[in-house]
Amino acid sequence: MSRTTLATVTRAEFAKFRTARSYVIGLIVLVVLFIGMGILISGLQNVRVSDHHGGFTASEFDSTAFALIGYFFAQFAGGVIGALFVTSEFATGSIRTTLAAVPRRGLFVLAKAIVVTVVVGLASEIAAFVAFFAGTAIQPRSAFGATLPIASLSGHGVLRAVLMSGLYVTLLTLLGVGLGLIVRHTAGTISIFVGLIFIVPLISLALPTGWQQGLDKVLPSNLGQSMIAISQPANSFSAGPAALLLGAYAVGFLLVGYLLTNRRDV
Amino acid sequence: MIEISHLTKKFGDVAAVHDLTFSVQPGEVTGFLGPNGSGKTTTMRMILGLNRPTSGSATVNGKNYRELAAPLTEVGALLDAKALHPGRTARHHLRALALSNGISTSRVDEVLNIVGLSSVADKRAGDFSLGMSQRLGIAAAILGDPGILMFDEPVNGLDPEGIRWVREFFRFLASEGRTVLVSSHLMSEMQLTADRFIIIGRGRLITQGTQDELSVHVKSTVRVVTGDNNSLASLMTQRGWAIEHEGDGLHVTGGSARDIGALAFDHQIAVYELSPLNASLEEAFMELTAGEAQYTGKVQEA
Repeated sequence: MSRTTLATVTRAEFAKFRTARSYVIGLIVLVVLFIGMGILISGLQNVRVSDHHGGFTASEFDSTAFALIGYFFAQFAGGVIGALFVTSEFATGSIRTTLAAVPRRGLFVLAKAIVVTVVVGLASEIAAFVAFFAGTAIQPRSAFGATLPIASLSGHGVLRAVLMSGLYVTLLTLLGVGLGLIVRHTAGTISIFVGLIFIVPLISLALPTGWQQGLDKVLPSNLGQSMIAISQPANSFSAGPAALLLGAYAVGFLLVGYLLTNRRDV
Repeated sequence: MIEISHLTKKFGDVAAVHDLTFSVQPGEVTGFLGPNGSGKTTTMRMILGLNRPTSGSATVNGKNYRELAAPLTEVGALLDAKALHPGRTARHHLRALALSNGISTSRVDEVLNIVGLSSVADKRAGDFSLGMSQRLGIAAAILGDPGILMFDEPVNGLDPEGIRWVREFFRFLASEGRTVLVSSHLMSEMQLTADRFIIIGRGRLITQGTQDELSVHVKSTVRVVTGDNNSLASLMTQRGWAIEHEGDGLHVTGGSARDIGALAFDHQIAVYELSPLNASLEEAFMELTAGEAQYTGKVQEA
């Protein structure tokens, strides 16, 4: 006797992810940006240390941050994948076929979230490790006679930073899924997503200092910096609480998305 | 069985469906008829739980659609043939649907074969013609071997061979004891397929019944041309038949060709032409829904 369960719906959503070119391309872009930008920025350090005018001290050289810089670019690919995975259903009208087959909206939302978490999560973590090893391998070893501190996984907080960079991209992708469920239109969803990362921090600049510090602390992009930092920046959470708060954002958006999907017509 | 009870759906102030009550029985093809914009699609969407009724209820097999354990095994529906991801192949589209309801994926090739799409199973569904998309939609509807089937304007885009196939297929599904609801805005199309009709206009039920029950609305007209139209016309008017002068003849409603022929013979009027005009259920439908059509065009006379 066939039944619609979380397992069957998740398998179906996974099959849908695999068989549409846009998501697979998105995933490739995510991995290429994550690894490629890490290699580019790490490689450019060699030019930087050979330039006498732009010299820097060893304490300014953040080996981990240079290697993992790609996370910042990969988050946009993640957001687009998450958004598209939902909004393309609305754009093509296939949402009606989907919800006629799976009328329980909770199963539908949960299955989408699980597929994105597993697929983007795996890809981001793998990309993070590759970026870290490749980036640190090509970073300059010394500058102006001083030895530069090249990070290794055994170093304090380094493994955590690598894992957290992949987690950040995954959580932002989930946020994209939630946003997509709320907005339903691809362009609108992606605009709001980008705004959340780039525009809100600019608005924060116009606020009184007290508010600004409060808002800055909880902005997704700053939570990302806290998650990946080896030493905690000023006015920020430490990595663990930052990850939890960002996770809460993702879950919050998904929950609102679910409640709206449950109520609205399609 | 599908049961609709006092179903109402308002979009803002506009009632797309208003206090609609009917049931669709197993073992026959039920035609769901109405002009464009009369609320057929909205009604079907409410049956599938896609749109929330403002009031009233729609149930399938006595349950709300959202309560079904494996919906595709109880209700199969084709609403919009083009409503699928264009980049996915026909096979992958059906496979995902089968997986979602725990239906064996071996069923995918079976239904592709039934609708005649086996040869294009691995082509992108976005490149399909409307007719091929309709076939794919029908394949999706029968995927779970459901006892209830709904098709919204399934004939659109099909070639004559496809139309004949669909007709016979719906009849076959009903003969197996399934409940089959087919919407259309063309009575002439449904006349050949459906056993029973539900006719709506502007979201309200106009009438329902079998073909025989509806045929009381059909006026049969006879064209007659005689040597003395005027005398015959006055004789027929005395009998209460309605007369219209059309060209060189008369169009008579109320009397049969036999009655008219006998009357003319009794009064020694030469009859040159006597022919029953093909009155159809289509015309009855047009008359019933006249004034109910939301969008009407006018032909400009030269």
